[in-house]
Amino acid sequence: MEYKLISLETARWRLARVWFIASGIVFVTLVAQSVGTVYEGRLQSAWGWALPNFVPTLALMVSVFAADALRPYDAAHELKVREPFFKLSMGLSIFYLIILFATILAEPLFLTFRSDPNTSPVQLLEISNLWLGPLQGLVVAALGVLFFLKEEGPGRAQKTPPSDPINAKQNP
Amino acid sequence: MRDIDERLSRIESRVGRMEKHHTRLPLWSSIMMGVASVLIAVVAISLVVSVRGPISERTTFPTTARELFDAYERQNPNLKRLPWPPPTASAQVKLPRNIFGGARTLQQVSEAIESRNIFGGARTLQQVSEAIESELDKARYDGYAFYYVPYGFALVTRLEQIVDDGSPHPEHRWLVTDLSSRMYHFTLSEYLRVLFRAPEGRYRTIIFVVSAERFAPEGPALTKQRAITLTQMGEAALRGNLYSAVAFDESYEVIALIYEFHVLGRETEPALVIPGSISGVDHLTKAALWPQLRTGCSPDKWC
Repeated sequence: MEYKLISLETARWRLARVWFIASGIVFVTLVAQSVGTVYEGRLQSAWGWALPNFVPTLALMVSVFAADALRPYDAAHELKVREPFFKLSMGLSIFYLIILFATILAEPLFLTFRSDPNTSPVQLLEISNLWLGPLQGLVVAALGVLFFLKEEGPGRAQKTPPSDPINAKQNP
Repeated sequence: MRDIDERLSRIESRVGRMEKHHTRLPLWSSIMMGVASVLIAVVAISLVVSVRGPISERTTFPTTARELFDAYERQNPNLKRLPWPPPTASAQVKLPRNIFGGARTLQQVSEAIESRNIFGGARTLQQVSEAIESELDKARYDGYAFYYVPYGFALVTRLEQIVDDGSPHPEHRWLVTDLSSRMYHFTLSEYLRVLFRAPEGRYRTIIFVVSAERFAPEGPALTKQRAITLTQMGEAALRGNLYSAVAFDESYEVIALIYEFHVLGRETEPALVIPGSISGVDHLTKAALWPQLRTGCSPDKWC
């Protein structure tokens, strides 16, 4: 069975584009909410929940791109990735980012239909770790393969040393 | 003849002495009477003053009413009293007396209220209370409490949630223990409001003070929690016959003290807004009290 291949560099940049755009939207939303004092005295909890959900992945991407930025481009030794795996990674990433953003967007509905009137929006964010945690594990596993691979020789690739910022992220 | 002459001369001398004596007596007695009159007048005036108080007070507050209140206080040592003077308010409105004029019986008061002549002719404090209560009922106020204040009473309305212009909150007027951050309508603007803005609330309580004692609000600021307990702890109605017996005369004033609270976010303590964001007249009209004010009349120019 033959699979269509795409360039690893291309796959990385496509994924990075999705992650940076989606994370930017989440970031701006949180800033607007913070300015609007939506989280009141629990601002740190809100940011403590949000940042570990996307900053480590972005940091990994930036560090990989930075490492490659100073190397000359060698089209002959360019690594290829099977497209289905790339699509899987992209799909998982998009699904995860949608769920992440939807968690924030669901706050008004959560506050409207909650049974306990004293429930805070931050509580919804904390509850969301139940489904975001496993999803994040899958996403990191997929992205790890694509971003930890390092060119070694023609047509070969090896894993980079485990300087994995995702594993260093804090769990809220 | 000589005897006769001597007798005549003695009689004349006696008559002369008597005439002299007669002319002295009226002068002396008139002096005495004058002194006695002055003394009696002084004693009488001092007695009147000691009983009725200084003239300045006597002209503004009848002795009988003061005595009634003093006796009422002695007989009821555990009266529920409003802090006096009342706390500083966001706004206050002195209700002009001419809204009380006209009717002279309770029936006329009732008719005046129905015809929007609010306090028309209330002659006793009890009638003033009933007139205020009637107006509050029409404005759909859900509860209020009475307190004793010097020579009068105070009526405290239940804390209500209001919107920025002073109108009662359309859906959660009586929701004051929790600042709801829910969506009231499923619209985009409402959704964005809840998503990006902390819940914001305004609350109001009004204290109507009916008293012959002049006061200037001061003292510790009223808190939202205290405003809630004020309506819970007060009397449900005016107690006893005192207020029916005391005339609502020129010495009395009805002053509406409006306390406005503002809070942004559920975890912050509501703050008393001084001065209020809107005028006292606006508060009363937006609360559907005193519809005369809706025509643009000011408290100084009641119409």
